[in-house]
Amino acid sequence: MAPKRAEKLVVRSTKKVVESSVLVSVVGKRLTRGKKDTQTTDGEEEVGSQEHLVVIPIQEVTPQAQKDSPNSAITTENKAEQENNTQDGGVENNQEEEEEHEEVKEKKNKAKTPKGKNGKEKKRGRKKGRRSVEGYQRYVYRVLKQVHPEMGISSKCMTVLNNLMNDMFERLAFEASKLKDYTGHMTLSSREIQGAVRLVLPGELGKHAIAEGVKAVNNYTSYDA
Amino acid sequence: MSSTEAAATEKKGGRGKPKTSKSVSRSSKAGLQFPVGRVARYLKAGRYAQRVGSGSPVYLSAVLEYLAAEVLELAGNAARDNKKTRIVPRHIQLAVRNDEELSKLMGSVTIANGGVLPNIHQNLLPKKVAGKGKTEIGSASQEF
Repeated sequence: MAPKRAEKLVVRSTKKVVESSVLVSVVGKRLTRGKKDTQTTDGEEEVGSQEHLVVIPIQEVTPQAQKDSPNSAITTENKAEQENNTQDGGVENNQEEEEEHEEVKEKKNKAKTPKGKNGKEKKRGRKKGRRSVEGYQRYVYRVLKQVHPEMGISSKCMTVLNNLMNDMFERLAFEASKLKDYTGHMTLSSREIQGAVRLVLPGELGKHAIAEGVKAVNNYTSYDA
Repeated sequence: MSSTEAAATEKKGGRGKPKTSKSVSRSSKAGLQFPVGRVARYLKAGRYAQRVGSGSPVYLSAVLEYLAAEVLELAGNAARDNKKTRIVPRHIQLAVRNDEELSKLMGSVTIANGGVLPNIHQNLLPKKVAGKGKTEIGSASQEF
């Protein structure tokens, strides 16, 4: 029983090699010869069915496929389609002609598409606008024109002031959040903000800031009352 | 009938607000330049509290505007002292470090391209020269 099992294993392995070699040979011949594929595939399948001639087509066919493949000007997508078609058992001539017609149509469509200055195809629809980055730049500039109307400001300086505003916002909001937790409330009101200003800003700076805040809140509440 | 209808229409004309009432920003209501609505959105998005009152973003915007005005005023003065019409980070650095309270507030802050205050320690300066331009050797020793 043991030698029979060994023979079966050898036969199976040779069959696998034959199938792979047939696939490679078909691709090579299709690339070069075109419409004569159906005849060649049938002939090679008959050869593959005979077990004695297994080794010979492998040695003869694989170098041809390697030689032909660099000369071919077909894309990888077409190669994949051809391999799938050969596994199904060959393709008829009419389908190949239809594929050629489709390629010609695609070329015509590409010629019709509108192109920009650089030769690239124009995309339809809205242009992608600049992603708006929020900051305090415009408000800082307004305040600058209130304080020093004749002064300008550099972009690096504006970045420094924007970062300063973000830093002060985080300091005050974090301190107000802690005060809110200490008192056990759930709402962040102007009372917590006022306490945070007293804690964060030193001396006269804090007193003037509190005066400005109270004045703004009074203006806001009394507006259109 | 016509006179009564005319009187009724005159009465109706003064009631309520017009349909196309223009929206007014909260910053203009509070008389501020800084954005109240954006600050309110940041407070909500930062999860500083479950609920945010209506007065807190107004108050916080006013404080931020005051700080910006304070820094810009001092920086503008520093730029004018250097005979410049454009504020650069060096002017902000000079303004902040020369002010006691702002220096305390921004003690742990580094300003990019700010430089340092011009300062030389007293011990590093050269010693004063005596009357004829020569230092006396005997004066260095101390007498008990």
